[in-house]
Amino acid sequence: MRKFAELVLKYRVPIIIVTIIITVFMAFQLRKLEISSDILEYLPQEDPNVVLFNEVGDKFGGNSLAMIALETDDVFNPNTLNRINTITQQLKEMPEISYVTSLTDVIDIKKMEDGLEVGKLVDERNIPSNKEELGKIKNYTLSKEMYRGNIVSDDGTIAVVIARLNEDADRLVVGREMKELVQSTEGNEKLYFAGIPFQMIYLTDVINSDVAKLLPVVLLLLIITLAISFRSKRGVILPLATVIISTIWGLGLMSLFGIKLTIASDGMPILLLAIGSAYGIHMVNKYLEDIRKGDNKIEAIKNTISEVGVPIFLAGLTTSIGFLAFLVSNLTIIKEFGIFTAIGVMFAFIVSITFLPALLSFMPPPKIRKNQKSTQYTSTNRFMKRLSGVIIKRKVGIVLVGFSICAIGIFSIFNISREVNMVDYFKKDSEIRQAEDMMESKLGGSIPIQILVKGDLQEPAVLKEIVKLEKYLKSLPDVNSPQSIADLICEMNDVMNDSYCIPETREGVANLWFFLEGNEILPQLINSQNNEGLIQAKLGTVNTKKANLITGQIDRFISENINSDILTIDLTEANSNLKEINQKRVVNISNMIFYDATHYGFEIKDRDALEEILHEHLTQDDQEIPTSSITIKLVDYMNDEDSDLLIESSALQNKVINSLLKYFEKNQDHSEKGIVSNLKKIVPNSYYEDDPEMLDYAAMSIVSIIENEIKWNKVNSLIKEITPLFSKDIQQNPDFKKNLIGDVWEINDTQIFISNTKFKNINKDDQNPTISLDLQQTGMPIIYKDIDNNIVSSQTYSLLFAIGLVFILLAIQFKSFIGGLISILPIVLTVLFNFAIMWIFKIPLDAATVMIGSVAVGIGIDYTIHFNNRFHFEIGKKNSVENALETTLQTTGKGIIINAFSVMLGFLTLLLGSIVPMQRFGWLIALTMVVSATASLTFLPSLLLITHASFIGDLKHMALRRAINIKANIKQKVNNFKDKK
Amino acid sequence: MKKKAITITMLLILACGSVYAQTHLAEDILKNADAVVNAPQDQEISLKMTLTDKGGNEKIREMKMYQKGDEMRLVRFLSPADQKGVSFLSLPDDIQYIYLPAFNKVRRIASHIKNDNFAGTDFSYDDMSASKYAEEHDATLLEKTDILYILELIPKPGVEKSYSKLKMWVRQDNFYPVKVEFYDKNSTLWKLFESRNIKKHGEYWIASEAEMTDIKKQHSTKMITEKIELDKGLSDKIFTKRNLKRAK
Repeated sequence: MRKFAELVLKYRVPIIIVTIIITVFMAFQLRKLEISSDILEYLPQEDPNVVLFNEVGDKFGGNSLAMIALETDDVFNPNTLNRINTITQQLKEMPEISYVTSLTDVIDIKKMEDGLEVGKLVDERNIPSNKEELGKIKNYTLSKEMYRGNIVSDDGTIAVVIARLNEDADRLVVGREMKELVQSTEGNEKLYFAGIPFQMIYLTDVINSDVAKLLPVVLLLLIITLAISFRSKRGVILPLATVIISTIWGLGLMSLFGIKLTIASDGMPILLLAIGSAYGIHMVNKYLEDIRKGDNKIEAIKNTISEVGVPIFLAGLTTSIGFLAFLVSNLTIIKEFGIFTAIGVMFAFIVSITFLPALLSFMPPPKIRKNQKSTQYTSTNRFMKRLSGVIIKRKVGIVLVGFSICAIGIFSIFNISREVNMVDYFKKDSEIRQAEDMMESKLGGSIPIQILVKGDLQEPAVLKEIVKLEKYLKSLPDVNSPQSIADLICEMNDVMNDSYCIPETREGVANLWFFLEGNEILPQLINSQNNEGLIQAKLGTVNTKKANLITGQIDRFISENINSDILTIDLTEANSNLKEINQKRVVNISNMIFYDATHYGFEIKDRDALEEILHEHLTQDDQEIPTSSITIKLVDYMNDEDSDLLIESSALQNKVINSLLKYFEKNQDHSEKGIVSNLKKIVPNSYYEDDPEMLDYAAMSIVSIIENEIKWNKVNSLIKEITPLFSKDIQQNPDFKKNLIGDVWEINDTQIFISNTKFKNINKDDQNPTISLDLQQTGMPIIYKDIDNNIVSSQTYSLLFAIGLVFILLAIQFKSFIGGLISILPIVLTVLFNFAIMWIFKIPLDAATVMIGSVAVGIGIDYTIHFNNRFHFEIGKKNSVENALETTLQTTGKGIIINAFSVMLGFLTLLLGSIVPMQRFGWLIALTMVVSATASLTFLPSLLLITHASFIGDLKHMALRRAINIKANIKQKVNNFKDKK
Repeated sequence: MKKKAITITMLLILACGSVYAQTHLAEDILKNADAVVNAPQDQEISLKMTLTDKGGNEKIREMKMYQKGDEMRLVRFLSPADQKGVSFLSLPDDIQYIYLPAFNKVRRIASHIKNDNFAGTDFSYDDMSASKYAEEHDATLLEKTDILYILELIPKPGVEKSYSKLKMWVRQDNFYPVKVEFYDKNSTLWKLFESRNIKKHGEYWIASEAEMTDIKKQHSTKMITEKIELDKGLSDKIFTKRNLKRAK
């Protein structure tokens, strides 16, 4: 080390120049340092969940939804609608935005008297201005589930413009542009900006302003601490220069590698300042000590480097290890933070033993103040003396307290909550938090749950499974407004055929599909080959625990209840399996009804009775022919001038109807041919002689009219029977009734979809093709869950890794296994104490607080090393244990307290920041410093004294000697007492 | 007719080179272009439509179209199989019906939104209707090349269109519009329409291939006329609800 010191002094000029050059270069790099607020970047990009998430984003026009909400008394007024329209139009023109949905730009399929109307909810070219029309639109919009709670709040006071950003769009830039654009539109509505892009903007701004706001405070604190400690310019400038230089290097290097500053690393500059300053302080301190001892300047510097160099190196190394332990984390941002903080710490060490002494050598030696010595017996010293007494007396008690804290800590590990949602990073009163809270309470949330569907989306079997899943999703608390292609098909079927369900046949689906084709909403729901689709719902909570519960439930439902290998069979071919198949159908329909009932707040009083009724209706053999309703429909048909069979004479109409009804009653398997021959018997030749195909077409229409009536009759009678089973009148809720009819409509199906694996016997040798379906959940909640899992494993592994490594290092240094073990215990205590505090104060583990453990190891170990070294040294001087302890506490102990105090102050500045996790991190780590210092000054010596650990010195014999001494003392006192007597 | 138009044009150019005349000339060209496209009394066309998305995926649809005059049209889809028989009937005054064979139902469709695309194509309902450019636009002649006129069309005041302007290339010899560019409200190119294979069928000029490309969406629709019969004297009965259902 002495040689190194000579080298440093020899090359002091090049060292200073090189250091300055590197610093200037790195400072330039700093300008390129970017801030990343993308939560996806937390995870490695090859993480399967990230891959799937990105895949979905690529395929369906982007994953990022930006939501702009406008709040006013009633959004259905011309000004607000016009403003929404302006915003919508302008956003649509931005190339980075793939789709925009709002009141003035959303597909609307309206049922009308004799048909349907496909169009937009509000015609953007012709926004109504009269009250009556606006009122109509309002009532209509709020009556439809598609809109209510999605683009407008239930009470009509908030309207939302939802923009989907392209997958490759720079969300920060686009988000800012959007915000500016929206704010420039005129209107009195209160604006809210929610969704990931706006959260990112806010987070970036906050990181930026936090770094800018906190750094000067930390620097100032550091200057004050240094000024008080050293009372000299040199004492302030040198350590300050050291930390500033090493911090610039660390951050500059980060920028050079293209690593961005994140929610985890934004505290890095402060951390480096707080930790790095210690090395400079030690150097300057030792130098002053040597000068005071009478060394000349150069000699003092040499001594300083050679004597303090190794401890500083060790301290730096262990601290770096604490940070490098984050390499085992799966979370990219934490890994990066670990690496670069470790490097930064090593930089601080290097600068402290090269640049600092080099610069010092150019400064005149300080004048030695005479009164320096007299300040030795201060109140601190008295306190330390007393402390040493307490430790010796109460060592067992101290150790017991220490171990009880450890026990509580271990218990609390399992009870600490976790929080990974970005929204939780912001203070409750922040603009973004308010926007998100509003979205959650009024519009079901801003975070999408996504389920990727792989399967033929024009296949009724596939669509029916999607409907089943969506109904389940709706029944879950905190899951809102699921949306998929299946809903649009149901909606269209409702408009065409009054039944809100998936049509039984592929042709039926394809026919309905026709209306949707080319609509802007489709590319957000399906790919162009119709073999992949997306189910999207909104997560109505930002609570990580609840979100994890929900994603888990969804995954379980998919694996347990969704058919992935579907076989289509005709009910007439079911034969021996019919009973089992019907049982399955009953359960299926009953489940759907149950989900719907749950969602709409209805209770099923008797589920068994429901299933019994369903079973009865499914197994009913002879179909009832509802003569009166068929008669009405057929009369209508024959009266319609556009119909194939226009009959004016009501007598003839009656004859036709009677004959048809008779025919249908007699022939269960009616045919169009049969009807034609039936008609020919009654309808005079003159009706069809010049149009030979007329009766064929008439038969076609008649079959569909009668079949339709039979089906409706079945459904209506079933609904009538189950109505009393619900806790409330189903007529009260038209949406529930609509869904209920859709659920029940399935009893008419003759094509049944069953699980191929469960009915292997039907599809022997796999002669029938099956339909495959694969559902995978993705979306932000899954990403959060992934991060959450990784936070836990990061915590566990990085901590174990750090403690393990430090243990090995200490064991090697003390050449003692026990020595390593004892030295690590105060740190373990500190870490566990931290967990106990987190548990008691309900502080969640998040991207920042997860790091406390390892940071505590890295910094706390220094105290242990310093203490052990000094104690070892003092014991070596053949001092008594009391003396050794007292001296150690008065010298190193004091240093530890000063250091802990200044580091603590540094971290407490984080409380002034705006990011909640960093605030928590700040005060927790500050507390940790205090605990760590306390543990190494009390718990550690108590342990050493109790175990008589040999690595520290000949404690055992010393104790023996001490015991003899005490005995002798007592004897003497007793004797003295006796003498006096 | 061709000769007459050219004579008028020549005369106008000779008479004066004023802006007025230029505008007038442009409007005449446009009127002629409308007239050429709308010339047949009725048509019965078998069409093959190819939709291409930005990934290069193609969807093919075949249909049969009956048209009489400007405003009566019946379209029947022949493929894909599961949409076979789906039929549209358009009658004057924006009355439209659809027939869905899977449900054997005829429904009236009202669509207020003329700029919505027709059944997944790049043609809007508006684009599909009869060529009435002259009626709805003010035209100016931008350029005259060896064989083409290049016009700029701006919707007349009060006429709402989804585009801000059109640029139209019209053949000088027969006034057939061969290319139309649609510009959005930001004046950037949005859609491109091209007519190809323009040949004379009897006394009419017919483009047997037409393609509309949505440049923003990178999606295109190509329609190829596989068979065309003109002036067959189609009966009005074809354009009825009753016939709409007869899709077998």
